[in-house]
Amino acid sequence: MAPATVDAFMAPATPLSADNSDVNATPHASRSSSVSSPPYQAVDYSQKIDVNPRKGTRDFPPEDMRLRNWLFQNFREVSQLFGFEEVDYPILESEALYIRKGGEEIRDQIYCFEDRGNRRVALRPELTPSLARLVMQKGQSLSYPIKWYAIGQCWRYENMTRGRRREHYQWNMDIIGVPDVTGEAELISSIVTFFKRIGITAKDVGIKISSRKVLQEVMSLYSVPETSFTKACIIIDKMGKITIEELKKELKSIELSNDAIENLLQVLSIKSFTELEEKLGGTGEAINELKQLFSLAEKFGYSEWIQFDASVVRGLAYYTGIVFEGFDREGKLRAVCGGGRYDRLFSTFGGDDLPACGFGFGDAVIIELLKERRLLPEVPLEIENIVCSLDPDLKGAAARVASVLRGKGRCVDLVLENKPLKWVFKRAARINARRLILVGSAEWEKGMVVVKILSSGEQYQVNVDELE
Amino acid sequence: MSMKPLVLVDPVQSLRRCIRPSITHNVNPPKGTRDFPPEEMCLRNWLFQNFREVFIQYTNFYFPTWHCLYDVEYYVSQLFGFEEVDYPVLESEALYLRKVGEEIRDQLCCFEDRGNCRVALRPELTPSLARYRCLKTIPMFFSVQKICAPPDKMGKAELTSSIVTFFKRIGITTKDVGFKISIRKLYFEDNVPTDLKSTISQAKQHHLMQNLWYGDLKW
Repeated sequence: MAPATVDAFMAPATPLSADNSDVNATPHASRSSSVSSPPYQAVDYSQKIDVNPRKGTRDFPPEDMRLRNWLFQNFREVSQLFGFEEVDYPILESEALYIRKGGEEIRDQIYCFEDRGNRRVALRPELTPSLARLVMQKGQSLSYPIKWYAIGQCWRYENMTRGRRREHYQWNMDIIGVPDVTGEAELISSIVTFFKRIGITAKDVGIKISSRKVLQEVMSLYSVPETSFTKACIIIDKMGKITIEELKKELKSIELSNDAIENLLQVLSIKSFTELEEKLGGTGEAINELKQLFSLAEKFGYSEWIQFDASVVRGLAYYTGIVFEGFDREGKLRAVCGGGRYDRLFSTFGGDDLPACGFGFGDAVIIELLKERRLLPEVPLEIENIVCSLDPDLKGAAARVASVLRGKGRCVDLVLENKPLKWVFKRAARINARRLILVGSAEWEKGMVVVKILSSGEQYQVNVDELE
Repeated sequence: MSMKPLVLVDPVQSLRRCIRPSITHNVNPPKGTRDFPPEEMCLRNWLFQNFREVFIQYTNFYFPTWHCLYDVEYYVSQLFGFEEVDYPVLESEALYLRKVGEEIRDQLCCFEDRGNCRVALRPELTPSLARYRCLKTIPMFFSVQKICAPPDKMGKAELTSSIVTFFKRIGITTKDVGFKISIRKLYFEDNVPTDLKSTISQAKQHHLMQNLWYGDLKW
C-alpha cells in the first residue's frame, strides 16, 4: 500500500510518482534508472547566498518584531479611537499610478520594473494613490465621509551610497468627503493622541502648519506659468536641505521672476498670523482656513502642540490646501510625519474630485525619537507556561498536558526534546515563564502533574484535568 | 504690500499638467493581487488574529503570498510559545533557485533592479528563515514555518497540533478537514529495497501517529 500523499507542511512534492511506481525493480536498478538524480538537491546556501537582507531592507527577528507590533498596535488603537476603518492594498501597483512630473523626490526613487507580462509595475512608494484608486473602484457603493487607515510597507530605490533605507512602514489616515478644515483638525488630533499615548509630550515634538493657498495667493500677484505652482511647492520643500542660492536658481528655472522669488522667500519666513495678514490681507481663503483650524485646535485641546510656519509646504505634488508636519523640537531628526489636504487628486486619475485630507507617519523616525528620549518600551518575550516531561516515555503525556492548557487559552512552551532540568530552567528564565509544569511518572500514574511557580519556588501537584 | 492679484494661480491646472492626463487609470489592483476594503480587511484581521493567538506569537501580516491564500504552514502558535519574525518582501533571486522541478521556481516574480541585481518578490518564507538562521546563531530558534532545532517527530507533531488548534478555534471540525501525512526522507534512502519502502513507511507512520496523541487528535 503506497504511503499517503503530500505532507501538510511541505511544499508540493516533485512528481516522484512516475519513478517510484516501478516497485519490481531491484534497488540498484531503481536507483540508477528510475531516479535519475535526487529530486531534492541540497544546495549549499552558505556559499551561494548572502545571509544578510538586501541592502536597505530589514529582517525582523523576534525582539524587533515585538517592538514593531507594539508600534503598529498603537497606530491601530488610535485609528480605532477615531472611528477609522482599516484597509490595505497590494504592495505591487501599476507604475502609472505614480507618474507625476512635478519633480518630486518620490518620483525619482520609484522602485519600478517590468514584470514577465511586460507591464510596468512598481513597489508602492506611498499609499495615497492606492487609496484613491480603491475609492474610485468602489464608486457609488461607499457612504461618505470615508475614514480609512492603513499600515503598509512602502519602497523606494535609493542609491546605497547614502546608506538610507529602501523600505519603511507607513501609517496613513485619510478622510474623504469632508471639505472643511475640521478634517485636518481631526487628523492632527489623532497624531497628538498617538504621541501622548506613547509618552511623547508637546515639549518633545511639535506640528508645524501652513497652507499651500498662501503660496497660491502670493504667486497670483505675479504672472506665473500654470505648471509652476506645483513645481514651486516641491522646490520650496527643499528649503533647509539646499542653499538659498540653489533654491533661487531652481525657482528661476521654472520661470519665476526675481520679484516673485523675493516675495515668496519673504512670506516663507513668516511665523505669525499677524505678519501673514499684513502680507496677504485679512480676507483670503488661506488665512481664514488657518485661523479656523487653530481655533478648532483649541477646542480639541492641542493648541500647545501646533504652530504656524509658512515654510511648510511638504514635498508631494497633490496637496492643495492645509499642510502640516511633525517635527522634533531638538532639531536632530527628520520630519516625524506629514500630511495635508489634496482636493484635486481624484480628477487627475480621471475621476470626479472629492475633498480629501490625510497624513503619513513612518515607522523609522518615531523609533529614533523614542530612543533619543529613552522612551522605547520594554517588550520582553513572555510565555506563561513551560511544560516538560521528566521521562522520555512521557512525551505524549506532556503533549496532552500542553493541549489541555492551550484548550483553556493559556500560552504554553512545550519542551520537545529530552533535555536536562537545568536546561529547562534556563529556558524558562529566557521566556519569562511564570510556571513550570513537570510530568513525572510517579505523578502521572495518578493523573497528576507538578506545577512550580517560578518566582516563589512554591510547587504543588494537581490533576491534569483541573489545570488552569 | 497689497497688490491686486493678476491671475489666480489655479492649482488644478498646475496639477493636471504635472500629472500626465493621458493615463487611463485602471482602478483595479494589478492582476492576481487584491485590495482590502474595510469589510475584507475586517475578515483578514480576524483570520490573522486567530493565527496569531494560536500560532507563532506574532507573525508578519502584510505580505503577499503568491501561491496559497494564507499559507498555514508559515505560522506557529503563540499558545505554543513561538516567536514572531519577519523578513523583507524583496529578496535575492538566488534564495529561491533550487534544482528542483517546483512550481515555485517557474512562478517566481523576479526582475533586475536598478543596480542590476537579480531580485524576487518572495514566493515563500522558508528560504528567508534559512538565510536568517545562518546569520545569527540562535539556539532554540523556533519560528515561522519549521521548528529549527529539533527535526524530530515531536517537532512535527507540535506543528500539527497547532494547526488543529487553529481549525477548532475558527469552527472547523474533523468532518471538514483532515491531514495526510507522509515522510519524504524515505524516498531517498538508497539502501532500502523499494518493495520494503512501503511497509517501512507504514511502520514509521504508525509510530508517528502514536506520537501524535494530543488529546483527541484523530485528524
